[in-house]
Amino acid sequence: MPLASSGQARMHSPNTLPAQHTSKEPTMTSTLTTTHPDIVVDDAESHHTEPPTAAHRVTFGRIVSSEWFKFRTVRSNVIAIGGVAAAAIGFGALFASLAGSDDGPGRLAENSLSLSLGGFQLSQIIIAILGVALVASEYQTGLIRTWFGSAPDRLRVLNAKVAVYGALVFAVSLVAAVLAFLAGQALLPAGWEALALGSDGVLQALIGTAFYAACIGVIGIGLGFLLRSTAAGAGAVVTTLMIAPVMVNLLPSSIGDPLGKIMPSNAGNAVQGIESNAELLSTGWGLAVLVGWVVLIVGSAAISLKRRDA
Amino acid sequence: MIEVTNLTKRYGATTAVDNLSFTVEPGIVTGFLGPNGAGKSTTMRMILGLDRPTTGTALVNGRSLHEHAAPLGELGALLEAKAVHPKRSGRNHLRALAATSGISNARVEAVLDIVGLRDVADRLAGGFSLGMSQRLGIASALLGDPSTVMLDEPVNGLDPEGVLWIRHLLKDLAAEGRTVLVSSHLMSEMALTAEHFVIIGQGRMIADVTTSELDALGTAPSVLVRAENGEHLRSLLARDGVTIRAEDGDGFSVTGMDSVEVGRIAATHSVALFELTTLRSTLEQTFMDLTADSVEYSAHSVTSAHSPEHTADAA
Repeated sequence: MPLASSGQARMHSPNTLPAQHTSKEPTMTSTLTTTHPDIVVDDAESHHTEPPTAAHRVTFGRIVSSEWFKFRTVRSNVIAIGGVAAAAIGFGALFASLAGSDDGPGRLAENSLSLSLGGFQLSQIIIAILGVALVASEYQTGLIRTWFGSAPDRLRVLNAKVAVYGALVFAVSLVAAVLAFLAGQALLPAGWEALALGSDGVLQALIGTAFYAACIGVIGIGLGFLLRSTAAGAGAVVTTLMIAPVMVNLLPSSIGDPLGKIMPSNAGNAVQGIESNAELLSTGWGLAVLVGWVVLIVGSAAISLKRRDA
Repeated sequence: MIEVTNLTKRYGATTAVDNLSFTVEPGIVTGFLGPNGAGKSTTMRMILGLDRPTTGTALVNGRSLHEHAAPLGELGALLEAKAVHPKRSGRNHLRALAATSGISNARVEAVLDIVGLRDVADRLAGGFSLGMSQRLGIASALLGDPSTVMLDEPVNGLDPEGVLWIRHLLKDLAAEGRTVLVSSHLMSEMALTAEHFVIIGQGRMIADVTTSELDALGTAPSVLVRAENGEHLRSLLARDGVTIRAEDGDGFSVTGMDSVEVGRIAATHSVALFELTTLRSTLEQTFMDLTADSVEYSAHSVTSAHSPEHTADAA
């Protein structure tokens, strides 16, 4: 089309401002510049001599408070996090009450501490999927693009989500673990000696459980950024946390055993330190492997955020 | 101010935006026009820093958006009206966005007033109609009191009152000295608000013009003629530089000769005229003509029997 090329027409002089119309509908407030009177209507030359919104800098703290506000203002998030605590406490109490019986998980474990914390088998899945959904739902609606428009440094948005969700999951899981432990120990059948919070290994188990839960939540956030889809992320979570550990058990032990040790769930068990056996890493190595998973997933998410279009 | 320089975006073999350069000046409304799929949204996404240009730059007030400390004060954008969490209220959506930049709740209420959503702002955003969602999106764009406002198809889904409202809003924003870039695929809508037009098709610049320049680009006016002895008059008018085309009914249109001359010739040869109308192309027609070669999907005319030249184009 030879009619025009870029920049063919020269721009308007500032004097050709449109005639101001005055008829406004009642729904419109009279001015849009309530906070910034330095925007001058009459003189087009003098627009924005200084940044009008210096006070409105985007800071990491502000993004964190925004993310926390966003989490609280969707009811299903609050319900899901309540479900995390309810599953941990409810099932922990149930499993402990069945200790030593032929019923349920009672016959599988002899350790009342591990029975009390058994509810986290379910809680971890909720935590991971909620983490994925928090991010993926923003991709699926396009909301994330609004956010990147207001906070263009995408890594800060990633870090803020990691910080908010990681801290929240840690806090909720720690409280839930303590309550599950207390309830479980109180409900142990006769003949079982209840442990106290100060007993050997109990604090490590409770804090380790909350730390593992927080890591799983953060991995969920990372998978949300990587996969941008709740369905795909939930699939990845269930595969990693539940199916992969079973699969590696079916491999020849020369490959399966070392692989099994570095599964996130088994590394989590090592961090809890409730059992120590040849199939688990030491607490220190378990911690390193768990953090390694977090760095791998969140790091990949960060690279993906830098490289891919939003 | 938005400055786009040699901007190109390729996805594999597809070139969505092809070496675009234009400047959007403050104080007026600039219409960003093109058929669907022309690359308007992709260009806007690059201005927002969401998509990385293959080559070229898109600057807002002299810098890339991510280089600004307070981006919401520089550029307020509406890309997708439905880009909200369906289970969060409209008011909380705005408050969350405001929180990223330390913008007060009072400002949230102010923009809710501007867009007329204050009374329904506590409803879940997923229950908003498209028109309400557009207003919520415009409220987000205005939240940081930005010097540059960029709206992608803001008229979509608005009722007639809303369309009128947005026209006033855009003009007011420009009159306050702001830079206003509004995309649309409807020239008829933009013709009423914009004074500067950036028209693209298939990612390429077609025209970067003011209203009057666009008017001048319009096709030459033609004259619609109906006469007692049409065939005879047609033969009398036929000469070099004159095109005659049959129109619906018994009339025909003449290009390359004005109505005065047609009238004189008819009078000289005593042909009775029933109708003599000068047809001037509207901005919309000009826009259609300009972009005719670049529409991605063109419908085959149902009435193609009447206009054989169109079927030739479509085939």
